[in-house]
Amino acid sequence: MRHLGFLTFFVIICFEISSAQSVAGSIAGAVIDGDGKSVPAATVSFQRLAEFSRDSEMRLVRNDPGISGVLMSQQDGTFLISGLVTGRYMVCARGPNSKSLTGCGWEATAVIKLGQGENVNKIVRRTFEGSSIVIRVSDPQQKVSLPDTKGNLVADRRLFVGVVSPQGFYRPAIPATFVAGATSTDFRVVVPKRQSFRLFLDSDLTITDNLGNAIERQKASDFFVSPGTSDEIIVDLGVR
Amino acid sequence: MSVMDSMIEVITPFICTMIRYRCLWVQLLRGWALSNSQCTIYGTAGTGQISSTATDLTVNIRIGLTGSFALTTQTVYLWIVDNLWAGTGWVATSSWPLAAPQPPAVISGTPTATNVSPQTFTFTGRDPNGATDMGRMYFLVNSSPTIPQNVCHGFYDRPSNGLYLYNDSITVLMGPLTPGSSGSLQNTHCTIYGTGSALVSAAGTDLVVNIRIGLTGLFSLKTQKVYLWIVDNAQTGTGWVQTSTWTSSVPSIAPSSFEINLSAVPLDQYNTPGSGGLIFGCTANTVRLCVQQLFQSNPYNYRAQGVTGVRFFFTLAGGYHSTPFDAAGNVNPVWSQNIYDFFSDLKLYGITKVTPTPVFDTWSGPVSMMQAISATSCGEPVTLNFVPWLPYGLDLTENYPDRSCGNQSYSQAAHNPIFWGWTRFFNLMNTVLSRAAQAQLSVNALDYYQETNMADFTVMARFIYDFYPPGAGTSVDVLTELRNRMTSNGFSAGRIAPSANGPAKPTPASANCTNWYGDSALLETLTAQTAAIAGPWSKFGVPPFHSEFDYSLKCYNPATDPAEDETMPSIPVWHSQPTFTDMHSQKMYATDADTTTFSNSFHSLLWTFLVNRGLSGNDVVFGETNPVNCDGWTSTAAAAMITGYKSSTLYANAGARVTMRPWHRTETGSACVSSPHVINPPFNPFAP
Repeated sequence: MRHLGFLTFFVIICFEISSAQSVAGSIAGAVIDGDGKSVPAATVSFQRLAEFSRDSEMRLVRNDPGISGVLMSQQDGTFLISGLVTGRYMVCARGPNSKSLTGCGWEATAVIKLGQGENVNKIVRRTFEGSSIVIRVSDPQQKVSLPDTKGNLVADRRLFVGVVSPQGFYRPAIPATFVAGATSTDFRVVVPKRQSFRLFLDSDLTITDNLGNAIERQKASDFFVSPGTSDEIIVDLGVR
Repeated sequence: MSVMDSMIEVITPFICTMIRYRCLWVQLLRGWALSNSQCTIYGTAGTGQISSTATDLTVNIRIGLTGSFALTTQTVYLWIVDNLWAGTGWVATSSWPLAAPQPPAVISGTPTATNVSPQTFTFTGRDPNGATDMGRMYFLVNSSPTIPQNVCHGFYDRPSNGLYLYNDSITVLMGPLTPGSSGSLQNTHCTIYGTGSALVSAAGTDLVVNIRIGLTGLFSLKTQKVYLWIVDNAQTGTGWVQTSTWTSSVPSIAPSSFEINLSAVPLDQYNTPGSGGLIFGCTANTVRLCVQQLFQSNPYNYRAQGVTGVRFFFTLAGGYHSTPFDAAGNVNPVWSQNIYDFFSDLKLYGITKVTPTPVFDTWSGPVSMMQAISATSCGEPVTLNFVPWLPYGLDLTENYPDRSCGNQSYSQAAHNPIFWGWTRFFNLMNTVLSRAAQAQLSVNALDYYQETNMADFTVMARFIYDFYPPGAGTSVDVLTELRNRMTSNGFSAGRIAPSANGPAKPTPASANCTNWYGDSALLETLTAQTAAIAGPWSKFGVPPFHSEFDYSLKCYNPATDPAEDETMPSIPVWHSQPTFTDMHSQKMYATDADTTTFSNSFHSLLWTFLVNRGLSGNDVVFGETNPVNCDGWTSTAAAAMITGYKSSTLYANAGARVTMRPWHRTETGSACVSSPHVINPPFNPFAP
């Protein structure tokens, strides 16, 4: 994540004000971590959703692509996005730590409907401390076909691995760069600490746990992964 | 016929003229025409003009020779008798060097080749007997020198200096139209313009006439030939002589397939007496008979215009006379039979492909079926509209797909508490596909969820994979289920191809930038759909973008914009990409030049997308541009779209795999023009 400085923030706000045809509004709130503590210097991103109308054929026509921008929270974790025009805003925050995760990625976060000149306050956005889950898939017979740069692969030898949170967020684990002749592949995904996740496998191959038991595929399985407070855990799987 | 105006000088008022011994004595009576088998003495046109002085009498006599008598040189003699019956004897006064009357000839028609319409043609005829011997100059625009009905046929009448045109059935002559006047003559196939037409000259032996002709409608789409036939005063004609070749002024898109949109077909009423009025412009008794008119019996039926494919909508709950389910949720056997009748009819009329398109919009059923229900969406209580055929709710005021939590909405927006479920839909699609197979039609594509925008409305991706959180329900792999049904009915699974919503409309028309996905920002909806289908391999939804400049596009600058948006979801199951790409391209600008610029840009970028995504072998649709004046569209704007397309890399590299699918509606109350309509330029399916 790239952090934009105050200058960029200023530019964005000026843009908003200059493009506004109505009285500007604002969104203010605070960024906290999983323990409820304020998060200074968090990256706060906001996005006004696109606006649409329907044409004579009932087709959705986008009138306004919306805008997006970022700013940083203050030392006390608060933020103020001002100069906003009417619209629906998605506001998310992410801590300064490289393993920090935005709460928007892991908990339901409703858009903020901002009326003309409205000031919405006391918005709370959470960040999570991340933990890497490395899913190491042993594949001595090299059955797995990983996608190339265009996503092409051998369909019946594909293996996609991901995790599903209790709230229903799915995140794919990204395979390490493919190495020809490798007999194992690491898939990596960063998840919030202290949560438990179900493994989701998409494959026609039979994938087993370290005890040799087949794991359910094409669904959120009963194979749970819980990183606890570790920065990284490794889960060993195999291709039968 | 040879005619001579003779001036005979006599000294007596009693006038007779004898040419040798074969021409009878006649008495000139003004206004008469006296004939025998050798000559005619005209009482008009100069005959009888008499002047006299003290000693001289001057008389004009107009004489015409006919038959074989006119084929050789004659001598004119005069014998004057005075009141005392003293005569001069025969005195040769004139030699009349006659020869066999020469037939007229067609000399030229220019230009000899053109693709411009209207076009001013310069026609030149020649008659050795003089330009004035040519009475009529007939013209014919047709593919062959015959005069069936429904061609462009008329003539220039020299004596009256008038232009005439026959009606479509060649039963009524319209005119005269004076060359140079502001009027025009028109049938369904061409227009003859007074302005631009002219009698250029009629001196010596040549008659030169300019005739300005414009071709219209279907007739203008095909290559035509221009013929001329000149008839002289003796009714001797040249026969048809081709003077020009007139190729279509429309840029051809051949080769390609050509598919007409019918919009919603009222399948419930297909065989119902009195239902024909549902098809705008149809006077037949049933929808079925209207379909026959559309594709077979009407002179301008779509088959005659080269259409080989049909894309049609059908509603799911009676919204426009289509009720595919009975009360128990099973496919209605009457509806099933009707769609089979429809398919069979299309096959009978020569249609080979169909693109069935179910309607998931709110008009798929009556308003009464929509319920405002309190639900939890994105973790918060909210009231949404729900219709039973959609797996998600709709915004309460706008009826947009629920996006209560932006990109998260795919998994976090409320599931529909009154959703019919997917099994019902799969059964219906299986019925449609099996009926198409039974009618021996192929399925060009199954646009099972049309005009997706999975960038702004991620819930739409539930039509690919309807994902439920653990314990909340059973996820359904919608795309795979539909592909299985395509395969089981003998069709290609890759033809399951939801269309993508039209491109963003950049300002200026040439503007473009790269979006976060790495494709053109114009293709955002197609890219998002592609990303969703790719499952775990890609995220989809609204990507990071920046707003430093405004093309109305979501441009991405990797130097300054976030590399990732953690709110963007992925579908947990991978799918191969469709082999058929359908992104509608109906954008139009205020000027045709801008429309052309945009079209060129859009279609070239579409080709780039296909190449970059490894989909360059896909079939592609040029879709939903309206070729007639309707809803702000104009035929010239549509032509501008085609012009841009034809200069695009998509056309250059994959033109043979592009399906032309102009937009059209047939429903009474919604259609702009009656059906069948002439699919005006530019949707020319014919080779030049």
